[in-house]
Amino acid sequence: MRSDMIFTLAAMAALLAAGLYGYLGDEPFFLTLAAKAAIFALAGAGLNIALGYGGLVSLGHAAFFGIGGYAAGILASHARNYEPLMSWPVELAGTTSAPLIWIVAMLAAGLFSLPMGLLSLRTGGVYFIMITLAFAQMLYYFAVSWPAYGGEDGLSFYVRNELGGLSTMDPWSWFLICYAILAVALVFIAVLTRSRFGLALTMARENPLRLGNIGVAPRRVLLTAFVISAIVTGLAGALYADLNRFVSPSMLSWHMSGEIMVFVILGGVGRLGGPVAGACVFILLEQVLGGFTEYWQFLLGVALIVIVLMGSGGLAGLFERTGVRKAAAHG
Amino acid sequence: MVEPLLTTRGLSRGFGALKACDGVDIDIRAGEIHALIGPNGAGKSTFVKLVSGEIAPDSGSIHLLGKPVGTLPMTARAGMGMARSFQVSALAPSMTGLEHVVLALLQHRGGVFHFFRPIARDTGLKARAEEILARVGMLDRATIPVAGLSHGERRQLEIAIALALEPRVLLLDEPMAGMGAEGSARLAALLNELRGDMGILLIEHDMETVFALADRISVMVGGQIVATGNAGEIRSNATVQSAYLGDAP
Ligand SMILES: Nc1ncnc2c1ncn2[C@@H]1O[C@H](COP(=O)(O)OP(=O)(O)O)[C@@H](O)[C@H]1O
Ligand SMILES: [Mg+2]
Repeated sequence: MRSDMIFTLAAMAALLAAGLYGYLGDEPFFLTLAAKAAIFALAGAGLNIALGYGGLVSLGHAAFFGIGGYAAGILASHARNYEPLMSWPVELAGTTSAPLIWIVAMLAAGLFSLPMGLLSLRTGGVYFIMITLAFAQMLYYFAVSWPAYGGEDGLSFYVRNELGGLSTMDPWSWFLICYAILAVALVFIAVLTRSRFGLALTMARENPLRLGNIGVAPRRVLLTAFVISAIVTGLAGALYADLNRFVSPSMLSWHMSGEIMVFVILGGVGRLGGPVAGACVFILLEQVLGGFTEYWQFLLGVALIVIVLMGSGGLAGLFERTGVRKAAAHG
Repeated sequence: MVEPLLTTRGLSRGFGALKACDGVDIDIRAGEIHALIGPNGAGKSTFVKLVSGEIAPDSGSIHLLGKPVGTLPMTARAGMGMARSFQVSALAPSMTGLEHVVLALLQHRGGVFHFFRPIARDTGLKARAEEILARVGMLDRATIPVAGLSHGERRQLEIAIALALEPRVLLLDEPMAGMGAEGSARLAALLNELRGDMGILLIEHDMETVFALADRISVMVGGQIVATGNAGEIRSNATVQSAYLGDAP
């Protein structure tokens, strides 16, 4: 628990330092990368609630990421074109207010996760993976074939959405917004895991029969965790759309689900700071290795295998073990 | 006579051609310790699984506190006051004993769907959990993750969790197996204390313990109850003699 906290703070400090470097060195590209890392970390933190704390191997989190993205894109494009979202039964206008968009994105992702979770939780193991994947693929093909919002080509919207008087197009402000949201989400998850619900979730993962025995239906606990998980990843999707001022079906693709899972596994499954470290290292590798070779994803795959073989916990687990060894050496 | 807390009638469950439970009628009365004995494979654990709702019966009825519960899920039966220990400990390896007991206590204290308040700050809950852990004799090991507990300690924790549910009916499936002499003696003393507070079904192989503790004894052989009575009656029952006691270890 303690080492998890230290690791989380270290990962967050590193991300902030990267942002600061971009700001002080006046390198907007670097700042944009740091913002992207914060957003990916948020998406991973969402998945981590299901995967790490609930033991639910979801290969469908791109669905929530994409729903968040399209929520932002659709609302903003309607507002910019002065077209109402719908005129019947009530007139609903689009919006460019970021907080409103975030709420809609979270609601939409949460709502979609409910039937998805209900159905996939009836099964376990490989079937759970396949059904979550199937749900996300369904959305992907829907987005590709639905012409209203760009279909395969996606949807661009030129300016970022608005947050109070902040200039969201300024890379430093935008980075700070993403970073602050990530920090709030991590605090929320830390609180969640220490609550009554967090304790029940641990038992639902490790021994569902026992949880039922003490009067709590494991499936209700897991479904709740799945929905919370989707909401957090959905928020990340809305931020990602704003970052790029663009959404496309690729946000819904299984590649995206896999990538979000890589952030978590690389950084440390079930560790608070795991997805932060995972997303940062992922983007770092993408930039560094991507410059040398087009096959950097292959090298990433090799790195992943090594990390998984070295034991659970990814980078966070590595940190824990060296910490324990040091403590043992001193004691 | 007051109605029994738990009643089964004609309770049956087969696995393929094997009838693991075959028309079992058992009553557990308020305040009694009712021992269920029988050779390995007699169907005792299957009976407990049926009553607790882990598996569904093929036929027969189960009444808990006068209400039919045969089709209710395990969680609903737990909510009505049924607790059960597992023959093979069923615990969460990364959680401490204290956390297990706290979680069990929540059933009667607002449930688990609270997301913000840190559970560690609920001192009343912790105090109550520690009281129960002290009762089963493992307070000093309360904050060690289950993965680091001995087999005997896990058995003790099983009992603590069951007690935390504040049950009306307590089903104990070989709770003393693997506990060691000291642990068994302490549990026997504890069960003696609990007598009167709840109805207890005790599955146990050690005849001395059974005859010392049980108000009534049912003998199960091949999925059927072949005799029910007090210690004296069971000792002198010819069927039991030949079917079970004769070749007991
Ligand atoms: N899930 C199962 N599948 C098949 N057979 C089972 C299953 N559970 C128990 N049995 C069989 O049912 C019989 C009764 O088992 P059990 O209730 O565990 O006996 P006891 O607890 O009295 O030793 C045994 O023959 C056992 O092999
Ligand atoms: Mg048994």
